[in-house]
Amino acid sequence: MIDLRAMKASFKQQSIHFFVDPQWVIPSIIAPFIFTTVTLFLFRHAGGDLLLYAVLGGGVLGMWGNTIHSSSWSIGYDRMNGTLEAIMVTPAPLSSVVFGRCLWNSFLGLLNALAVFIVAEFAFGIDVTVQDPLGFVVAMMATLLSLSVLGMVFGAFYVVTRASSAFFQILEFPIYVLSGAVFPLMNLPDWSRPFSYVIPATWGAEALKISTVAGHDSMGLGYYGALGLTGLTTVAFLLISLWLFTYLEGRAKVNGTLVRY
Amino acid sequence: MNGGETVIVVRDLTKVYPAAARLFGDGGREKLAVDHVSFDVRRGEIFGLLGPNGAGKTTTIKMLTTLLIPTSGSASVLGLDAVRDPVKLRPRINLVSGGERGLYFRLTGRQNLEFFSDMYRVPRESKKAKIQYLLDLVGLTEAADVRVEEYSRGMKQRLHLARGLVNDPEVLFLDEPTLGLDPEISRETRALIRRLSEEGMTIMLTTHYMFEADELCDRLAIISEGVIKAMGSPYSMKESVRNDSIIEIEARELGEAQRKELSDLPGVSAVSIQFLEARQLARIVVDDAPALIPTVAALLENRKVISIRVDQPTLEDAYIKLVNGK
Amino acid sequence: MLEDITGVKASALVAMRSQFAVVGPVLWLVQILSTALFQMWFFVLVSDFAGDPGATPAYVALGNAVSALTYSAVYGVTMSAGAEKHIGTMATIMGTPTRMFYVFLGKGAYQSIIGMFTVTVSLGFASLFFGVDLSGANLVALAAVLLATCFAMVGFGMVIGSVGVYLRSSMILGSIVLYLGLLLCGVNFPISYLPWWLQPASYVFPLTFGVQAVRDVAAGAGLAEVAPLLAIMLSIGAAFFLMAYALFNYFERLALKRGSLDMF
Repeated sequence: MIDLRAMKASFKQQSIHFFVDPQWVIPSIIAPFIFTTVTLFLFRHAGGDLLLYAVLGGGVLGMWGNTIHSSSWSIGYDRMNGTLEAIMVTPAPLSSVVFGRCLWNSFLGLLNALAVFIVAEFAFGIDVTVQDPLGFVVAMMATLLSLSVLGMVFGAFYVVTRASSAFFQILEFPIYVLSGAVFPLMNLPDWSRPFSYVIPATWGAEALKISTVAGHDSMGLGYYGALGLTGLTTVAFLLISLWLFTYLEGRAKVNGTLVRY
Repeated sequence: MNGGETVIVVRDLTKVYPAAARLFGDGGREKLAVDHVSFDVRRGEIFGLLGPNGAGKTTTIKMLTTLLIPTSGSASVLGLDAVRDPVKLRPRINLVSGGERGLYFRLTGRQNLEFFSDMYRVPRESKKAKIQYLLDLVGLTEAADVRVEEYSRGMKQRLHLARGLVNDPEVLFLDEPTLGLDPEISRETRALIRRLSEEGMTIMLTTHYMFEADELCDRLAIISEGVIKAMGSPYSMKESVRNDSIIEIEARELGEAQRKELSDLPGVSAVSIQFLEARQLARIVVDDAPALIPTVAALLENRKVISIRVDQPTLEDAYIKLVNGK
Repeated sequence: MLEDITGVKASALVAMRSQFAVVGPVLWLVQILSTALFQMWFFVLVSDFAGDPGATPAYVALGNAVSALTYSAVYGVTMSAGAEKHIGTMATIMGTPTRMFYVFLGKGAYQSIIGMFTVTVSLGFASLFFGVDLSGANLVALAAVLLATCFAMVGFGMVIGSVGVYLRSSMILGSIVLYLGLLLCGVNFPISYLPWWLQPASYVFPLTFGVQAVRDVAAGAGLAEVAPLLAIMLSIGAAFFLMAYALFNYFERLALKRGSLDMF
């Protein structure tokens, strides 16, 4: 079901597209960057761990922002470019192509994390030291993977229609809220908890915080608990996206909507 | 034509596009695009699907290349059902669509081919050499590392063809391969297609240019409004109008209304009007030209007729007769 | 040259952001309303967690409600230039006798209506859920202040939009400006929190004055008290419109000269 070579080629292709004109990453990561900076201003007087908390959360928001903008658009680009058919006619599964691109996009979201770290370090004088570097890197990779998979779920809908963009864009800010990246989930109303729990970014951000902030474990999950839940939600979304691709590709082939832009 | 094994078998192929084709909103009305189409293509042949825009050519080719699921009927390529066996079929065929779209403009020609080679799992050892071979074949070696956005139309079209060859397809589908190309480049493209055919590749193409079909195809099917109107070699098509003659009229005020009136005359089997700059050229396919000229002249009395002459039928007229004929 | 395809990806990315070519006004309204409301909620939660007395949840909620205007008044106007390029109508418009400035003026008017609607809903939301107290507000003063803010912001949006006649990067500029307001305009925290060298930048944005004026009105100020702020907004608004007029003409000529009308 997953073709690693197609994934790799798509990852590379997406990176070439980025390097040709890198300025276009700005619209995708500007919102989370400013959100995080504002958060840093609000947390300023509280100091210490809280700021670090915001920095980490902001990094996750950045990956998320780029996921929703670039990944969900992945197939939309081919649709507009007229290359969707050329890909569809190859034996490579479309889902693998999208997966490869989403990985690159989430990876690019790290740029935002980097920008946030720089602002934190130099403008706010926050000392970003990581408690458990290995755990941090693993948690980062897991978060990256989880957001890529979520990007695939969104991307699948473009097989059917281009109008999906508006729909998913609407989800950008709700997920900033629901993932509780820069404030504890406990501050959210009860009714919204279930939404938070199904978003892999929620658990990824938690694992990142546990590995960085000494003594942080707001949900009592421990590092492995949070990491495990990141993995679990990731696998669940991966399965959902593979199913969606199969289902929606079939639908597009009946309706003949592959080429229409 | 070598009369070899049959590699494409199409039986009663029908496609009705469903009404609501969108996720959000209303998709409009149901549309019958291809209506019980049947034909066979043999190995090594160039088979053409000729018809006006919207005739169902592209829809047919999409069903054969696993991109569209037929409403009914069957399509098999290389013994594999296009609906049930896409995974086995896709590595053995390829599709090239005409026009400017369909390439990654931000990538170089070589990067485009590398990407698609990976999609086809071209063996890594031979990938590099294969791509170089294709670039040479289509004459893009020098522009290989230039981004496609800088390519001319003709270069893009050649890259399209190279992309269609990365997996050494046994059957190559070409959808309007010379669409929008200038005559010179069209000629080059046709030469390349012929060369591929000589090397043994089976080629199925669609076109709405009569001369292209005439020049390239071993056999062709004329399709109009989703229905195959005629099938055979270009020669046999020409035969179908051998006993007809043509009244050609040059005038300044001909339109659709006149085309209709002329078509309705007894003894007229088809009328086509070509719109030139300030005048129109009507070609009327008739069984007996001298007998009909007075009637035609009377009908067009106030339409600023410049000249009326009688001509021999061409393949174009055969096509018009088959597509527009009564 | 085939430069019109140069930025397919870029245009794509932004078409998705701008929406005009793809979705109708209803979806656009849903989008900006949901964005505005969730954005407000996000910062209210942050503020609640931070516990900064200078930036309480109610303070943040009010600021975000007013800044909701930015989506249509500034961003919407800016993006429509890019959308025109994207769907290839820019050259068509230029071919008509109507000057580009007026075309955008029309778009500005349309976006103003959506903006006023958004800001009204946002303020209602802020007072319903996040403790913004508008009970003591003079409604006439509130309406005057919001209209003046909208006017000045559309002018600001037109200035940025004019660049779009010539350069596709205006879209990047548009998205930066869209969010920069949250940082610089006293929306989420007082301007005094900013480093001193950044503070002058705040006063380039009409939103800064608008937010301040609405805060004053909410605190009970009448028309007379906010008159100075109103005057400032009306004058910088007028200045922006004049500037936009000049820039549109300038860029229009430049675009015709360089043939970049539909170049993406």
